[in-house]
Amino acid sequence: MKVYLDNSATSWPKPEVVYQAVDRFAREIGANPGRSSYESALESGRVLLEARTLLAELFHAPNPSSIVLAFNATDALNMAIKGLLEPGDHVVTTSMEHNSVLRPLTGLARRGIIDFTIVPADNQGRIDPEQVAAAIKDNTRLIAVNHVSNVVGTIAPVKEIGQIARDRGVTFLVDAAQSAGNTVIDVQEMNIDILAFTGHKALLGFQGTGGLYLRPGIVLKPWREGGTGSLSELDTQPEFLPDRLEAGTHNAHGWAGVVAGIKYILAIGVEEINAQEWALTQRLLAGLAEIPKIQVYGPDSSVRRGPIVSFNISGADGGQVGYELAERYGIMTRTGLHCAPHAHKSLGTFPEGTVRLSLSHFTTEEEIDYTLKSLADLVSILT
Amino acid sequence: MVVLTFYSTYFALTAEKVVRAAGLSGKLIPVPRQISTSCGTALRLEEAEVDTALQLLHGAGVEVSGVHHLP
Repeated sequence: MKVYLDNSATSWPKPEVVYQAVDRFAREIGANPGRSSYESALESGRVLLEARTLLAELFHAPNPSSIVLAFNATDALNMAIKGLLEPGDHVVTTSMEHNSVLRPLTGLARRGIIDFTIVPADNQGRIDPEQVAAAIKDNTRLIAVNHVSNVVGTIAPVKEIGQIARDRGVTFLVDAAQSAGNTVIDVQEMNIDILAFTGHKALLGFQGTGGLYLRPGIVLKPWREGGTGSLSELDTQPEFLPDRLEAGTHNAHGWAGVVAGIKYILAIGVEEINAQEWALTQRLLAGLAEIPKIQVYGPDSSVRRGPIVSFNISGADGGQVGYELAERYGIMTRTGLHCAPHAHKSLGTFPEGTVRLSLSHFTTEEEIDYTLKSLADLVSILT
Repeated sequence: MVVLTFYSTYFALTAEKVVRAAGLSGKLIPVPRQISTSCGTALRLEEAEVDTALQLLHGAGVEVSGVHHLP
């Protein structure tokens, strides 16, 4: 049996309609969007427009022009962080961030451009909004928070932090890499100014797609400059969105897949998908609690979290556990630090890391039960 | 014939969607050579549709960079 439990890295499988949409685009459309006016070039452009329209609907954004398309969440986060911050700015972030936030901030700080404060999470990955508020300084320009931890699934109090950001006049950036598509996100109700998302995880599309929601009025310096198919007579980047931030050829066939993925999600409903994944996560957590020598990290098993569970087997190396799970049982996981070293420090699992099981809409109860049985077997072998 | 031009392809494609949804004839065409403009794609309309179209586009937040009446 093959069981794919690495959906936080990228979701697999995809809905059948996603494969079909990408195949159809590749065979029947193919053209570059936004550069010409023949029918298949227009059709390619319409795919991007539909992607923006559906993303705006999914995130409750005011209109499709507030969506900027990028190549992945890291690209989008760099665009936001490097496009917003000016010399002398201060940033408040948390220990639960992925390196896609921490490294751009650290890079800017090392070059003497900004400084930043990391608000530590507790050993369940929880952030206290009061600590975020207390870290704000006179020159704080940005608060950057990971919505759902890619290590343990802990859900950050985004709405509360959004209110603090709004009250204090600070721009609020949310990293929705793990939550876009499987968790309800309302950028207006949550006071989110900038939302970074990826297309290849819970949006059920392929790699090479991601982007930003930008609250109207937020101005970012272009991080990537180049051809846009507009104002081509000028040597400078256009000022207007989305062209200002979208230089270069889009991943149009990738977006055809994301369009199909979002339609699939909206037809079922984000709340329904979230409820299904939470039920499976609870089944997994309950089973893990029955296996001796397994320690599970993150929130209490009764507290709702994203479909992400990290554990270790006492006395066994995590890397070996991941290897044995794949080799003996066909179970695909991710071990180590998950690009989030500070999160592991908060959880008490640095530097050895954890074994991560991450579920998707397509994970089944049978797969969870097989994984639990395999783990019980592996514990008896390794310890 | 009237041709509307736009700053970006995003606006041109949105304009097509908006006017077609209202039952107008809008068709996207390459910007005619006699019009100097920024974006390569324009929206062709019938004369009689222009006022309605401009109102619809304004309501939808679509910025029109030029309205060109062509023979």
